[in-house]
Amino acid sequence: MSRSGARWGAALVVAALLAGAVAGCGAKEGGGSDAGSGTTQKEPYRVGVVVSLTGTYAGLGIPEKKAIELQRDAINANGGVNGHPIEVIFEDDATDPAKAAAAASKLIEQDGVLAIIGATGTAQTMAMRAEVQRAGVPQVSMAGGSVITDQLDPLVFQTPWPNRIVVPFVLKAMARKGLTKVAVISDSGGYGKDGHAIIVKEAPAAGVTIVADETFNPGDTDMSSQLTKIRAAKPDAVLMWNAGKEAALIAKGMKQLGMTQPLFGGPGNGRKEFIQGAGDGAEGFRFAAGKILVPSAYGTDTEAYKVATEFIDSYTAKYGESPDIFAGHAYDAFLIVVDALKRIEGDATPAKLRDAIEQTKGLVGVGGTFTYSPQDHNGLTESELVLYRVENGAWVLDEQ
Amino acid sequence: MSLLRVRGLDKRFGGVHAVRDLSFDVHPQTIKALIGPNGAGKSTVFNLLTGFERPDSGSATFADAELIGLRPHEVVRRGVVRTFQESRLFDSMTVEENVLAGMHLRLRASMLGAAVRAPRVRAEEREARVEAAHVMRMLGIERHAHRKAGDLPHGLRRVVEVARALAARPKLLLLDEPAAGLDGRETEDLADALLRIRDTGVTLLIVEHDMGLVMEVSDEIVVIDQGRKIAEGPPLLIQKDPAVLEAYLGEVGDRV
Amino acid sequence: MSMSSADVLQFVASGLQNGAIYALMALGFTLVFASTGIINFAQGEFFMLGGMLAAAGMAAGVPLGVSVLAAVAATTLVGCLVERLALRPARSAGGLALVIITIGCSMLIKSGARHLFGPDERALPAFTAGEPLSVGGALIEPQAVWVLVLALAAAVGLTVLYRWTKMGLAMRACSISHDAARIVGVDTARVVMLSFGLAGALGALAGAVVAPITQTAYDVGARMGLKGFAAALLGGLGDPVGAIVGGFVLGLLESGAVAVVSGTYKDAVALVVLLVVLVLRPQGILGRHLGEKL
Ligand SMILES: Nc1ncnc2c1ncn2[C@@H]1O[C@H](COP(=O)(O)OP(=O)(O)OP(=O)(O)O)[C@@H](O)[C@H]1O
Ligand SMILES: [Mg+2]
Repeated sequence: MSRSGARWGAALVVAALLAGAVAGCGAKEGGGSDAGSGTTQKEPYRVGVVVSLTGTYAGLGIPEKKAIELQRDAINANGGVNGHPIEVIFEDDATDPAKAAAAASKLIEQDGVLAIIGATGTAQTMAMRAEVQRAGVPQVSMAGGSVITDQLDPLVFQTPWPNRIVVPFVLKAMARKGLTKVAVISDSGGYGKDGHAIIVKEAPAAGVTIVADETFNPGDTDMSSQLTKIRAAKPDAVLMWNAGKEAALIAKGMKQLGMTQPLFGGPGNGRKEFIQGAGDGAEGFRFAAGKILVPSAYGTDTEAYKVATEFIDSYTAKYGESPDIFAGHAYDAFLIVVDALKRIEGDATPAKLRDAIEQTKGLVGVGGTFTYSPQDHNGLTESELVLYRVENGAWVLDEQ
Repeated sequence: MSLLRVRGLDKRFGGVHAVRDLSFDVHPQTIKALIGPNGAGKSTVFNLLTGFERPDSGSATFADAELIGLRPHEVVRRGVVRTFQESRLFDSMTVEENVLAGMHLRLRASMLGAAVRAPRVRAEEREARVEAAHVMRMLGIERHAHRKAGDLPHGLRRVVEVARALAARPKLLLLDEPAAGLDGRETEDLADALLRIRDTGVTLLIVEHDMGLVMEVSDEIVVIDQGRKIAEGPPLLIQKDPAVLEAYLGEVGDRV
Repeated sequence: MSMSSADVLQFVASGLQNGAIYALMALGFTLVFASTGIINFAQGEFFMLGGMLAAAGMAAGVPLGVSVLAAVAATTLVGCLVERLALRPARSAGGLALVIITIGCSMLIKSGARHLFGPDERALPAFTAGEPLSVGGALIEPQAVWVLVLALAAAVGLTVLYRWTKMGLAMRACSISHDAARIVGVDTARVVMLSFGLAGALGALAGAVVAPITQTAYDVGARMGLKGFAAALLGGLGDPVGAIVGGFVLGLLESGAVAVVSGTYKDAVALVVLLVVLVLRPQGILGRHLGEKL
């Protein structure tokens, strides 16, 4: 092969790679239709689910899919909803906003779904908005970016505690512990960016000063340069905001750089892989999340405790591992859709379903009790949150 | 007794029947010329003998072993070394390095040994340089030893290629148009060198268009046209062969 | 915020650690390019396999050292198989087609790993336990020392192989001209396969030695492939010394970009390097003219 041929080949491939890198890399995993096991005569209700089964958020999207499959099978085994079995069609967005939009379009145009649950990530959720608006199909997101429900759309609902609730909760907890000079490290993806903006906005009110402010890209494998800058700023504590696997590198990196400051984070870090990956570095890490990780925080005599433990038990029985908070968000999203479907009279349509979802009231899920209104499509408050601490490789409630 | 025995060699490239049922022999320590008009199939014969192409049928026995089916490097290891019509040199290396490369890949010891098992390997390395110098002198290129092969004029490159081939200590040397690009004086020198090479015990099969050179050095000539053998014999007979004159008519007939 | 000299050293240390990994990857690209004239885009997946196979070995109860060696050996084999099963049969199709085949191989390896190992990230323990060492105030974890030492050892080993062994001579011969190499008795097919095997070994070594620091996952190959390719290009494709220098330069540039600008731009460094080198100096910073290939 001639040299110029090689060079042209190289240029071409570089172009392809750049396109791939920009688009987020990652092969599309075959989405597919999974009809439920129920046998009812009535037409099935079709629900689309867009999750990240590959890419940076694969570790979140996979438990989400598992939780929905579990609930679908349970409901169909009990005769479905109003006699209709539920058919769920899963699509993988590969942690790529463009693919999420394409998946939403496919679910609407090709599959004619009544509602879409998804996406796993904030940027992916936002990318689907134009599609659901065009078709008038309700969307229940499992991502925690505030922007999802701050930019209120009649069609879009959200199950996790959004950053606008979690961030002030964490900042106040830090201030209470006397940690007021805080270094922030956040990812440049949708969730990190969303959280970062709120951190910057809410810090003064919480009495916290930001002394260093670093970012990294999803998929980054080395944080030591960012952490070196943080170390030089001598903060009281470090607050990281991201939902991917890079969290472990931050926790480990701090330990390796001899940084002993306490590390704080958000619900996105409530993952077992984080503790495994960070090892010793995870010890003492504090993060805010809902009560699903330690359901007794609800009080053992509450309805919420009952719902959470039932979910945890059935999930563990089926998959041999306990669900994480992301599985919980998916459970709640599915629960909200099913609950709304039950309340529909006559034939189900996306428009009727949207109205029914907006009328959700006092619905006890595993992440909290949901009450939606035309002004509030998240329906959760700070009271659903607790502060956790990693101790001996496990989550425990941090004493306030 | 023949050193190389070619029988029924046949090769088609799509519609082109490049070599047709070709048989000939090359006897030890002789120079045989393979001639024919452009496109007659001469280079293809070389390719078939040295593993660069597979024949559709036929055989080539070299010192009682079959060459057909071997890969190029295996052919080299049996002592059959060729040059190309378009020279294939290591352009970024010097002339001496090219010649040494022909040798090194033959040497038993790796050069790494030079550091480890010093004496024997160092001696081998020293011998290699002496031999390279000898080969270059034999072909009259020793004064170019330290020039980069890529900088040499066309004619000289072919001679370097002959030198590199010779450095591999072949039993049979196949040269494809070694005199192309050489002037009269250089061609004379090459003719002398070829005869001396033969006298050291090497057998040669050469493809050449320069009939003066062919007539001067060959012990025997085989003529092919459109892949088919049309004559074979000593130079004096070939010169008068009507079939040969016919084949060359209007092309290089005046040079015969 | 003020930077002490210890902080500056810390940036350098981080740049060298990443640079060592990029250097190994760049060597993998360069070896294959030298012997075949093609760019092997499965190189990133060799990196992934090194880490993932070592982690899988550990998970199966195999001791760390054995897991790492086995991962490197297995990836060497994968490299050879990519050449033997995917590229050699299509050899006559020409350079660009072969490059595209390597992209296909990389997708295949990646999705295979996804199915075999699952989507979650895997951790690998450090090769040796211990507290970070302080070098002029910069803290360097023991594993980073492993990264540097193994990368340098691989670089030295490769240089010895390339310069002073018969196989190295054969590889250099192939890098200039396959036909010329054949007529001096080189088994070019074997050299090509070996260079893929070596590329696999280098990639896997990089992937395994850095996994204790960075964790690994089935999808880490593409990013690292891009970085390694940028480093190889920076060093002048086909030049092993250039590849090593290119790797370290890229690592330091990235670290500098984070220090001076922002972590968001770190990945952009490799892309900028790629574009600049491709447009301005296709022969790389240490480039030399390469002969015809294949
Ligand atoms: N690889 C190939 N593919 C297709 N056709 C080929 C190939 N190699 C040779 N040929 C054809 O075979 C015929 C013989 O070619 P060859 O090169 O052997 O002739 P030659 O006698 O060496 O000619 P010249 O004196 O011009 O070198 C020609 O028609 C040529 O086009
Ligand atoms: Mg010819």
